[in-house]
Amino acid sequence: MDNSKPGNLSICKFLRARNPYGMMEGGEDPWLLLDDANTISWCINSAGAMGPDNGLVSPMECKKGRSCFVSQQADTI
Amino acid sequence: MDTRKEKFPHGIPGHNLTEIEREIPIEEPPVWPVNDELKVIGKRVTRIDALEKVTGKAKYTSDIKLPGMLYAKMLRSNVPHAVITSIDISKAESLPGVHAIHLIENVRKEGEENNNGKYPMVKYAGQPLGGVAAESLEIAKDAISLIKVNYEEKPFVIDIEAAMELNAPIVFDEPITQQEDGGDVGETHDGSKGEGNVRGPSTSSFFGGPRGDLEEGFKEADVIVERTYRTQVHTHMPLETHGVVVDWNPDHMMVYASTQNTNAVRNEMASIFNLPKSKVRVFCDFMGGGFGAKHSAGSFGPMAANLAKKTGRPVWLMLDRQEEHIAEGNRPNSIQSLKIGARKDGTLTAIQQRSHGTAGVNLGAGVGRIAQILYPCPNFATEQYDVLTNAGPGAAWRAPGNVQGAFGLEQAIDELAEKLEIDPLKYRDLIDKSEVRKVERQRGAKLFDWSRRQAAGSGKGVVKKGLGVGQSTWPRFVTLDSSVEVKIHNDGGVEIRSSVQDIGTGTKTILAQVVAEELGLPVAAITVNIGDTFFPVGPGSGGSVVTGSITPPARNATYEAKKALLKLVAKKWETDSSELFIEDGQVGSKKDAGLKMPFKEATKLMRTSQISKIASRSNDYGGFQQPWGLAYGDLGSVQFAEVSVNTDTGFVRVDKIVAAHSCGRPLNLGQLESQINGGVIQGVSYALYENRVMDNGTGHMMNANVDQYKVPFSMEIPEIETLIVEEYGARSSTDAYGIGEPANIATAAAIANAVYNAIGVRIYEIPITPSSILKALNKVS
Repeated sequence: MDNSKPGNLSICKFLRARNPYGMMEGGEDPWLLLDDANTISWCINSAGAMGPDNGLVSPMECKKGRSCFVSQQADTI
Repeated sequence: MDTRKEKFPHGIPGHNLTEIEREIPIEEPPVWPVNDELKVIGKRVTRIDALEKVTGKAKYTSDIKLPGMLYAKMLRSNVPHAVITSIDISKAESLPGVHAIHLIENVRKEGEENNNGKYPMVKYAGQPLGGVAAESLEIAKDAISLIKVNYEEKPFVIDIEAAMELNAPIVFDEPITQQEDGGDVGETHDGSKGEGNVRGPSTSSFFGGPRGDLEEGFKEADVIVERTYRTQVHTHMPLETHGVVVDWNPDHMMVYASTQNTNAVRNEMASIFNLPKSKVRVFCDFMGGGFGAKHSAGSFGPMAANLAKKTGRPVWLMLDRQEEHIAEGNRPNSIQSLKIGARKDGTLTAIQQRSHGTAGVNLGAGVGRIAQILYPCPNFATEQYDVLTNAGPGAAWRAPGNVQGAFGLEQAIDELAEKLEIDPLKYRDLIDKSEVRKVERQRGAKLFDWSRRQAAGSGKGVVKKGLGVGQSTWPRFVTLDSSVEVKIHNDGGVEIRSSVQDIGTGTKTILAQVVAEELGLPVAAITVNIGDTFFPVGPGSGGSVVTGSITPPARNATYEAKKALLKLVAKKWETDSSELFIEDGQVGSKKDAGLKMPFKEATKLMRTSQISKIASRSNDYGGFQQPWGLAYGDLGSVQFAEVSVNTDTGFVRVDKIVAAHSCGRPLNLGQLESQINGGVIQGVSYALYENRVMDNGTGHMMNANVDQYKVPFSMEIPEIETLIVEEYGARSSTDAYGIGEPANIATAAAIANAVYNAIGVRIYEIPITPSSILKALNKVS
């Protein structure tokens, strides 16, 4: 499978995700891009498995367009 | 290119050891020979912190006491699904000794209107809602009991199968219509089958997606096994619970944390409080276990920091055992359907797997990878679904997904062997292409005396003996963002610095060994200062990555520091530093055996007070299987189990486990054995005892304690014999890997196979209890 990463992923900076092998921090170009499958995710803004909008947290969900999304460039919550 | 070629040991001593030439960066140290020819590496070196641990001198996070420190307690929901209409803290606020109360509230971005309410919606019983800081823990607890939370309760669902019903209460209101699934990493594709609380399927991993044609594969099969296996929710139960002490000074935030990842906690706290990373310092000297659940600051970290901010005082916040069970992670359960086909000669023709599992309000319940990669099979497909429930979130748990998957797969392989009328160990010889597991089977079978095994259920008497085997694989992962600083001081002292933490596995000791071996010094001469984010960034302790990630840069930095020191000696002796070496604490010369200088004396030649060298993990020699640190090869294991089953009481006792493992170049046999012992004990506990029991009527965990949440005590721990197989891959300057995950994967499967061998009836669900044994034997209904 192709494991090249698409650019400018726009994943919320407050997403964290971990699968058996590594940990991902949100942003535009996480060094290890995880997806929802077999991945535990949490939001460090809401400090839990639910986002500030009460929705599910995951690399595929926590993207630009979601009400609670915060870009990597934003310097405040 | 600045490289050179060197010949490395390659293969397994006593089996197929040979040499392989690798092109390596020119600055990296010369190849180490096999362990037999080394002085410190591969030996039973006593933990350097053993005395501190056994005398109680070791300070864990909960032991931290700071001037003016307050104690905090979390407020948690006592309903599983609700909207919070109000929270009344007035009585708690007025309690003497209470200094601050912090409630978790929805954050609204500037100018944004939303209808999320003031407080987060409650999705599970035990969800954190706030915290209190007080003069004592008792006062904080009292204050929590005085806080009145008003809920507008909503329907909830706890049971996985109930949650899969289309009319089940929905855990997340937003419809789940699509899952973009790329397996573990990278490429995405559309699964589009999720609905209700069911999400998925995941059909691939970085080892690829579906292979071949299942239908054709099963047509080719002469024998097919098709079964459903069930595993339970398993909580982590580290001796030390999650927690922090936060001391927020004007110039920086100091966080004492019980964590597997100081760097991740630092980054989280910096992000949450909008601080530069350089203004947050996370420290973890001693740590009492995490097993995968301690990679984040959690909710307790920010809570302690908020309370510290409000009070201007340090805040201690350690969770209690109940909180640990309900809110800080668990191994998801699973319902796995597995169908495997084989020809008469044993060749596997098809493997089909379909699983559902719940990680509560989280995702991550997949179990498919081990079925995908343990045995070569041309036709393979998996569908792994997450089921959302109103229960505490799952977390990574020592070989996530693989332990559940192995329980199913290794029983199915046993059953297939029986249908083919082949001994299950011989059958694995036939279908398993791993050279290291082949050696493990050979050596393990001899140590275990596999020849004692009788036909299933053929034992006489009430207590029947059974023997079983289970296998596992774990990929070799490396965290490239792993760095070490090595200092040689001008008083002869040698110091290692890194933010990597020792979670109880012995990382401090192996780092000291690596540096001692390279410098020709005793291990006791090395001081290890790690677990501090003011030092170079180390890897998180998860995925068995630490040894493979941090020991090569430790050796490489030491080599650079040694070269710098030897240049000083060479100048004094008016010779070439390449002719010099350090052995047994003395600098010597290959050219002139009469030239000797004690190491300590050599350090006095420095013009500065120290030599300091930092090295980072370089790419594997020969490259990676995937560019982000998936190395070639695997960490194979084979475990053998001997059980006694009382067919009158249903009581199962695991008498003995022989655990044969590989981890590249073993660094410390004693510590490896210790980690394997721990993995096996957890495996025994998973197979027979531990089980989160939820009340479907209230959504509460009913055994959130150490009384009814059964873990084995000393009389229930079997005799454990370990067998470490050295396997050289020539991939780094230490060629070593971890053992944390592999130690835990195969045990439950081996025990289940042994139980079948004892009683002649197969148990497809864990934990295997007296009740399940008696039901299987038709002795109770």
